[in-house]
Amino acid sequence: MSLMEPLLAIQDLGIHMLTYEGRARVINGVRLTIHKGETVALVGETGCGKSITAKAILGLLPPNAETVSGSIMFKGRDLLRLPEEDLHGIRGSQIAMIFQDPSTALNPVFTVGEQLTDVVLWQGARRATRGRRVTGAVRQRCLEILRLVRIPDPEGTLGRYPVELSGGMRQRVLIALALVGRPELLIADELGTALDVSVQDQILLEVRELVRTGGLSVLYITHNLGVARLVSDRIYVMYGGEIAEVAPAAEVFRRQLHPYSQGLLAAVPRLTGRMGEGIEGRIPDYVNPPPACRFEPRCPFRMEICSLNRPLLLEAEPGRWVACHFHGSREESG
Amino acid sequence: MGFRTYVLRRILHMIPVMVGLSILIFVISRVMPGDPVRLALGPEATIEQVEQLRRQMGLDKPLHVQYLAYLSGVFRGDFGYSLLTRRAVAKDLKDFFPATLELTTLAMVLAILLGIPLGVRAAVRKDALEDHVNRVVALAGVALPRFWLAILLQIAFAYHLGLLPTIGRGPAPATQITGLYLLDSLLTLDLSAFIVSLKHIAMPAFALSVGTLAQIMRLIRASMIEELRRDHALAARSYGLPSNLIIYRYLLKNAFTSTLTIIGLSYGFLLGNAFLVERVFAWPGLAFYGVDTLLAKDFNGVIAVTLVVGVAYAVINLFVDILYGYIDPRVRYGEG
Amino acid sequence: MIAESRPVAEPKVARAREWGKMWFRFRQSSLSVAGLGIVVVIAVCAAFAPVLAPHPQHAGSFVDFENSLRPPSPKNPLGTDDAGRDILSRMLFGARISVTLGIIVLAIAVAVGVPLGLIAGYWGGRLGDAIMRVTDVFLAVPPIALALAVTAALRPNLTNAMIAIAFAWWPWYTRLVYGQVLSIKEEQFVEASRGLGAGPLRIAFREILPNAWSTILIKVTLDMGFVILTASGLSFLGLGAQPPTAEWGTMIAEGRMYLPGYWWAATFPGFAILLTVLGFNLLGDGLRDVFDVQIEQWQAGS
Repeated sequence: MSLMEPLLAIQDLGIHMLTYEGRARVINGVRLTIHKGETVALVGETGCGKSITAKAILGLLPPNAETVSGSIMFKGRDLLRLPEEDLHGIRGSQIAMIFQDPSTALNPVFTVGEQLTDVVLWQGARRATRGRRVTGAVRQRCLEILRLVRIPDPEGTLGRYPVELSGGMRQRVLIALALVGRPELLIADELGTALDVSVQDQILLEVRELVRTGGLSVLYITHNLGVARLVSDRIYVMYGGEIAEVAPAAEVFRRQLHPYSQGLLAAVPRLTGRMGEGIEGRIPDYVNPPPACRFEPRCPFRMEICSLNRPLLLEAEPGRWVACHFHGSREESG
Repeated sequence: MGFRTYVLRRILHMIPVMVGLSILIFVISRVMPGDPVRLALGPEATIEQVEQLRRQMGLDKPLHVQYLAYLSGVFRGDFGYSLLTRRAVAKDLKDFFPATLELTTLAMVLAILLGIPLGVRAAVRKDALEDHVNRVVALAGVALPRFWLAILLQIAFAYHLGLLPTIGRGPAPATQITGLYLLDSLLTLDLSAFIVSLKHIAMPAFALSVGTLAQIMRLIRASMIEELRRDHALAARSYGLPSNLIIYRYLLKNAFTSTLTIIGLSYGFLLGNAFLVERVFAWPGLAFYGVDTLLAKDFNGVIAVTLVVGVAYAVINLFVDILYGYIDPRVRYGEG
Repeated sequence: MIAESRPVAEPKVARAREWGKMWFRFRQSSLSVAGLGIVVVIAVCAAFAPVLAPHPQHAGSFVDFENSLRPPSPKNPLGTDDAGRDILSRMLFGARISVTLGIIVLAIAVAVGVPLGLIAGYWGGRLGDAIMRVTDVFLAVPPIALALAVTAALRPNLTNAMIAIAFAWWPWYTRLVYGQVLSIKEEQFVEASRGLGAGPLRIAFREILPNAWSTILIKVTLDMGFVILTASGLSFLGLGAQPPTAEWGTMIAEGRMYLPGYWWAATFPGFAILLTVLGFNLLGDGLRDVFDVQIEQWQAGS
């Protein structure tokens, strides 16, 4: 593997969902790369396809999803073409995910200890055998990981059920569950969104710290540009199942190239994350999407070409990519 | 609210319900048309004889006095005198109850042991052909008239194949301890008696369990499908846990927990059907006796049977609630 | 989350589209469609029994001992019973009896149970408590056991079986509606109309009840089968319809005496019950999926 080769490279990913309304083209040619040690944020409003992209990486798409194109290369292997048992060896130990909602992502009828122990055992199962001496080691590992995510009283927490923990603590347990297999790539889906704002900030900072000291690569999925700037190196703005803009985190705030990013930024100060008056309308209909640029119906700067040709994601400035006719002089039909 | 308080409250709640039930049944039984006493004594009886028995049974007193006398009797284990069997109803209950207990328990155990694995399989293979077949069979199981199924079983296994006895419970084992033939013969290591009892109970227990089995299967399937869609199921997969572990250890416990109370309630469904199944197989149980007392207008018998059914139902559900609280911590913390 | 400001469509168009979508979802399940088909067939049999039956006069106390217990033949497709009556004709009339019985029992159960549930749920207080306590008492024994006890107090016949079953059935509706009301009560639109000064009666019947209807209707559909099953059970025990009424349970009880030699007399009416209960169940299940309604998935009855 060359030094320049990214840890994860998604090329031209296309996913359709079969719904009663018809075939929904929810992911349409997504491209995304994450280098080793890099933190990347995927930003967009609810329903733009962020979570589906994340689930595609882990091979956890719902049964009605169909992958129609593209590849997801991870350390030289295409995850989309791996058999289930190989994906199994990757989940948890190489790529792990922190789930969004602490109140639903933990099994309510098992204690934290039971849930954590099973993951430790299975992650370690390939080497160690189950036994008494190992049980002690497993417990040690559980305690260690709980301490790492700053859970006070880790011994007591092992014996507790999720219902006995606060939202923040549950979120920490979810982080522990994701980290316990020592993954190289962490996917954080709307981390902390379900929590109070103060707790959310604290968790985000803690995870950022954990990631930096552990040298992990992270894909943050968020609807909040502010969060994205806080935690990531690079930002991918996603709209309607396509990547609209790619830029270093700080640059996006200085100047947005895609009109949609401008609208998103306008929404940042609002706690609800609602779009300001800047952008009217709603996310596109995936069954019958706009023929060319998917943002065209909502775009304040739309031109004639926007409904004729699909804008390609092109490098507008060094390190900055955008899919918009407004910036690209080199349109292509698509 | 602590779990203990919760259980205690459940028990306390049972008392007024049972008292209410006894009043309801008592009133119903007292508005029966016709004269049960005269009916019992036959057309030959003189007016004096009828009046005497009437006085003896306290039927000449006002209704509320009768009720209070009855209630205080019940607490002493006295359910009055049966006009049908001409002896104390309590004695009848003692004779008939174990047979029903044995039959319904075996039917329930069968339903749970078969229903859960079938339900899980159907959920995991959702929309496969096997799942469709299972669903139709399960629905048919619920829709089958139990008495009709019982008759079909008799035709097949007793008349045509001659494998099983048509009716009855068979001879009692030599030593009786609990009154449950299967259990008694096992306890005394009397294998031949065990087999005889098993042959007798096989058809009625199966006929009785089919509906409940189908219910449990449907419930487990439905809640398993729901569990499979939950975040924590997906999360468990994302940690690299094998799917069999997720399904049989994690999700089954969730699915079982959410169906547990309904399994408890379906015991009522089983008890209700015992009235039909026991009839077809002439199974000498409480329900069989109950129908006989109904036909004979033997009100003391009717009240006692209804009360025992009510209490059995309540006790089973109390037990299930306790188990539920034990399995699901959310109940203990007053969330569930 | 960015606002999903849906364009405000014409309400009528939206509703029509909503129905279209539901019908589409309903058709997705072949089992639901099969259920609907069975129910339609049974309804047709019930409505046109006198026309469809080859020997309509056999429905009652007709006797023709010359032809008793004949096996199925072109003249009597399902054979004849001990009195020489055509079983198919009797079964068609049986559909009529069962469907009528089901409708009447459930009409009573809804008429009694729903208002009580509304009162208990919406007004609560002592009256509500009292209603729910009484309901608990009725629910403390399986419906068939309670119905049996009631039949004991009455002369055994079809009308009284109906009364007995309705007597045992209404509390299920009280409890269902009670639960519905408690959850709907807190919804915003109810709060809003309360804020606008609507009286409690108006809110209960105009705002809350319409929102509970779909659940009640699905429950009624599912219960149709179970009520019919329960009634046939009572009749089978000799505590419901009496011979020579062409009721399915009664027919099985009569035919049972001629088993196993003359199997058709007891077997075919059983299929009719099975099919009817199955049909209503499939239909109810399908509706439940389409309306996405949570209903207790069990029946203590039947």
